[in-house]
Amino acid sequence: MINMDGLVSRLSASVLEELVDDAVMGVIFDVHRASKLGFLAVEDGCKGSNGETEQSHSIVIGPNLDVFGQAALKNKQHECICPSCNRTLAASRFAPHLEKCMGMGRNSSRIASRRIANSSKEGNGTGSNGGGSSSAFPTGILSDDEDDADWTFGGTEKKRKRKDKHNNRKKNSKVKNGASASVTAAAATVADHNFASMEGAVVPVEQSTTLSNGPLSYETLGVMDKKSLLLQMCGVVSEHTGKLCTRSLRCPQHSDEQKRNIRLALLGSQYEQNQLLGTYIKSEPVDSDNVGNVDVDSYEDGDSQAVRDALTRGTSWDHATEHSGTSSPADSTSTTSSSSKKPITPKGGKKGKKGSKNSTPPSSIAGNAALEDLYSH
Amino acid sequence: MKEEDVLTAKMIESGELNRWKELLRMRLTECGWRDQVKLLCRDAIKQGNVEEMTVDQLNAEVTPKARTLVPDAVKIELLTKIKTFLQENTIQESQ
Repeated sequence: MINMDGLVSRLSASVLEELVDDAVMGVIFDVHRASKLGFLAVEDGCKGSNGETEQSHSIVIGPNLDVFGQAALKNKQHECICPSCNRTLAASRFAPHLEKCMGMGRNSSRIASRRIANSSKEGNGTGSNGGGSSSAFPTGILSDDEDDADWTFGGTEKKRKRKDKHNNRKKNSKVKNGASASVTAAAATVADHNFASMEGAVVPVEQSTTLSNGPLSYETLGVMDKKSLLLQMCGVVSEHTGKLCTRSLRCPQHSDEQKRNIRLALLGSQYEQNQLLGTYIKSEPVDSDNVGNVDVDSYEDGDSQAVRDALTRGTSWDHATEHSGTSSPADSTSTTSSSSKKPITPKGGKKGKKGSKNSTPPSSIAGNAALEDLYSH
Repeated sequence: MKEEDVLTAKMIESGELNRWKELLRMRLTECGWRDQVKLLCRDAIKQGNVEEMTVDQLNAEVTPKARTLVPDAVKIELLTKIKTFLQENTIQESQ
C-alpha cells in the first residue's frame, strides 16, 4: 500500500511535468512562428523615432475627444453605396433612394406607371424609342432625382418648374368634376390662340391637352367642350368600349354617317346649322368669342336642310383636316376660305378631293349646288 | 512499470489527460504565466541569432525557467486531481 502511495505521487508528478512541458511547447511554438514570420516585434507596439514609445498613437482620454484625439464631427455622414445602382449616397438619403431604386416602396410603382404613360405618349408622337422608358437605369436615376423633391422641403427651382408643368397636366386629368377642367384648359388654349392663326400647331396642342386627360365621355363635357372636341376629333362612340374615337376628323374607322349621327345626337341640329353657316358665310377670320358659332342672323330657314345635307356628309370635316394650314380658324371645319375667295374652285376642288380621298354619296354634289346658292345670297 | 503504463493508458483512453491539459492551460493563462514565458522566449531569441533560432534551442533554454514559474496553487490543484484519479484506478486494479 505504501508503495502505491509512492507510486501514485511519483506518477502524478511525472504527469504534471508532462502537462507543463506541453504548455511551454505551445508558447514556444507561438513565439517561434511569430519571430520567423516577422511580426514578433509588432506585438510590443511601435516606437517613435525619437525613442518615445507610442506617443503619436497613444490612447487619448479627454472631453469630447475620441480615442484617437479627434473631436466629434457632427456634419459628416456615413456614405453608403447603393447595392443596385452602385451610387454613393449620404446615409440620410439612402433609405428613400433605395425605395425608388429597388421599386419596392409605395410611391415607386406609381411613379413607374406614370413614367411609362408619359413615355409611351411621347414615344407614339416621335415614333422613336429614345423617349421610351425602355432603358431602366437612366430613367431610374432621373425619376429618383425628380422625386427627391418630394422629400426635401425646398427642392430646386428647376425641379419645381418641371414638376409643376407635369402636375398641371396631371392635376387637370384628376379633377373629378368631370374633365371639364381639362377641356376648359383646352378651350382656354384654343381661345388664347384666338383662332386667328390656324397653325398646325394649334390642333395638335389642343388634341394633346385633351387627350392627356385620359378617356373622355360625352357626359362629362359641356356644350362648348363638345363643340370644340367635335371640331378636332372624329368623336364617334365605339360600341365595344363606349368611349369616343379621338382620332382625327378623317378617321377611317368611322364612316361619315357615324360622325354625322353623333353630332346630331349630341349637339342638336341647331348647332350644326350655326356651325356650318358660320363657317360658310363669314369671309373674315372669326373673333375669339365666336368659337365655331358664327352669325346666326344670316341663317335662312329654307336652306337648313340643304345645308345640313351638304355639309354633314363629311365634306366639311374632310376639308377641315385638309385645310389645316389655312389662315382662319373657322376654316378648320369647312372650306370657307376657299369658297369665299374663289367661288368656282370649291366645287371642283371638293369634287376632286372627294374623289381622291373619300367615297362620298352622290347627293353631296347636289348639296354643293345648294351651298353655292346659299353663299351667293 | 507495467502498472504505470496501464495507468497511463487508462488516463488517455478515458480522455482524462486531455481534460487536465486544457485545465492547466487555462489556469496558466489566467495567472499570467503564459505571458511571462513568452517574454522569456523573446529574450532568448534576441540574445541568440534570430535567423538560426530553432524550436529545440528555445525549448532547451526556456523550459527549466518556465517550470519554476508555474504558481504553486495551479500545481497543487492539478496534482490533487491526478492523484485522485490514480488512486481510484489503482484501488480498482488491486481489488
